[in-house]
Amino acid sequence: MTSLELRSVRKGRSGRCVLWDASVCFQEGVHLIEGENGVGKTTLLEVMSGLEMPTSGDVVLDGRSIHARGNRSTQRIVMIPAVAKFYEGASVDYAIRLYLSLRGLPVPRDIFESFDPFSLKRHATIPFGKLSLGWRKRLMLHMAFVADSDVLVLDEPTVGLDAKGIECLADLILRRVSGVTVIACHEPDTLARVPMEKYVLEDAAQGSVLVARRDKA
Amino acid sequence: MMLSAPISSLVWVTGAMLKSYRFASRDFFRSRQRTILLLGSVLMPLASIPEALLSPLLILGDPKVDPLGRCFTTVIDLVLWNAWIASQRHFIPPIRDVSVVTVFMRPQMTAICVALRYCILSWPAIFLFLALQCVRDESGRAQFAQMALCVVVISSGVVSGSRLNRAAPYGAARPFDKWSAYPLLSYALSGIAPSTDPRVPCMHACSCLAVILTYVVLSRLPSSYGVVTISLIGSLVALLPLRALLDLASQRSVVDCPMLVACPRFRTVENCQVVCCAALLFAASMTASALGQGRVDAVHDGLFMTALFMTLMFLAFVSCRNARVSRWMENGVLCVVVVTGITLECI
Repeated sequence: MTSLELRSVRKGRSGRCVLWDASVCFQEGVHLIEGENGVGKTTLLEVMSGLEMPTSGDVVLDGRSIHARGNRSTQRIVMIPAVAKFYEGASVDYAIRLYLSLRGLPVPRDIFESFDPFSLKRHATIPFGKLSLGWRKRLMLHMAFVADSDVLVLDEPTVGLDAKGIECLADLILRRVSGVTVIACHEPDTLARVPMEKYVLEDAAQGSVLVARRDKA
Repeated sequence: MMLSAPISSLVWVTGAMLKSYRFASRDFFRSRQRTILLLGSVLMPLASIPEALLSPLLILGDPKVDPLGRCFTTVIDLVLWNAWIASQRHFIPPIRDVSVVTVFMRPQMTAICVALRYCILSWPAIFLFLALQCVRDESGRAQFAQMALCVVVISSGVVSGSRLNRAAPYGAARPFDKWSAYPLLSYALSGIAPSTDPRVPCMHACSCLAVILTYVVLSRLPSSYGVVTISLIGSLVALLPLRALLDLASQRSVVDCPMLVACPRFRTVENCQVVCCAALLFAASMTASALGQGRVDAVHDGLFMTALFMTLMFLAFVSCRNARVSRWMENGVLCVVVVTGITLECI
């Protein structure tokens, strides 16, 4: 059973406290984090995925701090940022091959043969910089799901996706049988058929506070 | 077999970065062509003066080239170099204390090159050394030294300017949104305005002191030692454009592809890139040095270049790993380079 725990995480930026004592334990399943704009959702996701160091507190994956020296547990976490970014000159095909190679996974001759939920094959030769927002997002999500990760962190995964893409995303999330999935989303209704545990990041004077609602979305 | 996986990953990443670099540069140049050509023709010579130092260095040791020919070659090189920069480099104005030099350099590259800022700020000193080498008689050297010292003081003020007052982080730099002219001119003007930061006159004073001391030492040594010193300093300055050309710094990957950072092989690839980058710089410096010297002792130069290579590798690793440590280390590393050079000169 994989578990991702935040222990009194605080994060400051530009002289102000963004996160205040975020403490939560994400067990296996899907977890939704909601909150107003600028409340610190992306910061929270970056901290829990190891891209940012917390100012104080700790992030623990299966009993070990992900920031501990010599600990490679961040490699078990995949985070998809809200803004789809990649090497702009790399084609779709090239990007997926690169990602598989860096994750140490086998790179098949036809990478779309066994897994192509977002129908990326017809855009295989187009550079990332020439893709529309929706197709960029599809590529990012494809890379997230093609690698079997223990913790999957998705920041605004539905932004830019059409209805078909969102359906496909919901299917992929539902098909994940194990691992922790954390989603920050302003449109939770689009993923209504995915059972999720809800958390809310509320703005407060000392910094945003993470509140667990524990009601099924 | 053990190495094949990281090497293939390295090839993949390098390929993606080079493709992206070409893609972004071409795309940007197409959209900003007119502005770059009009304003760049005025401002680029200012921006690339230190970079152009490589060209006189290349023909410095060639006794067959007369001074007029050297000047002409320098101008030609400068024009070609500017044209190449305009067409190839992705145009992002960074805000950093290396000011005018960094107008055409990416913020990430500026961050890497920050260890060499004292070299950049004292670039007019290079002209002093060049002038000293051009004039062989002692009396002429003294006049050139006085003149060059004035140039050092004035131009250092211009180069530093009020931009040092701007405490904006790298993150504040962003591509131009609408029209390139305003920020370009604003940066040029802020570079000319005087600085109120007390560190600036201190740095200029140190530069001048270094120039005077070097001149005193040089005047007592055989001329070949002077050539060696010029070449070494020139090599240091030449690292700037070379580093910008490579653009393989690992920090770039973090900005471009945050999701790749957590990949298991990413650190390995990152380290391989740094080593390749340093090796390429080493080879380029050796070539430039060999082309420009002629009468220099190859053993001494080889030893110094090896020391420089090791230092650069160390600096690159430190910069990648811990920005806070790198800030503390940068001055120390530069001192090590200079002390190593002087020690080797005295052997």
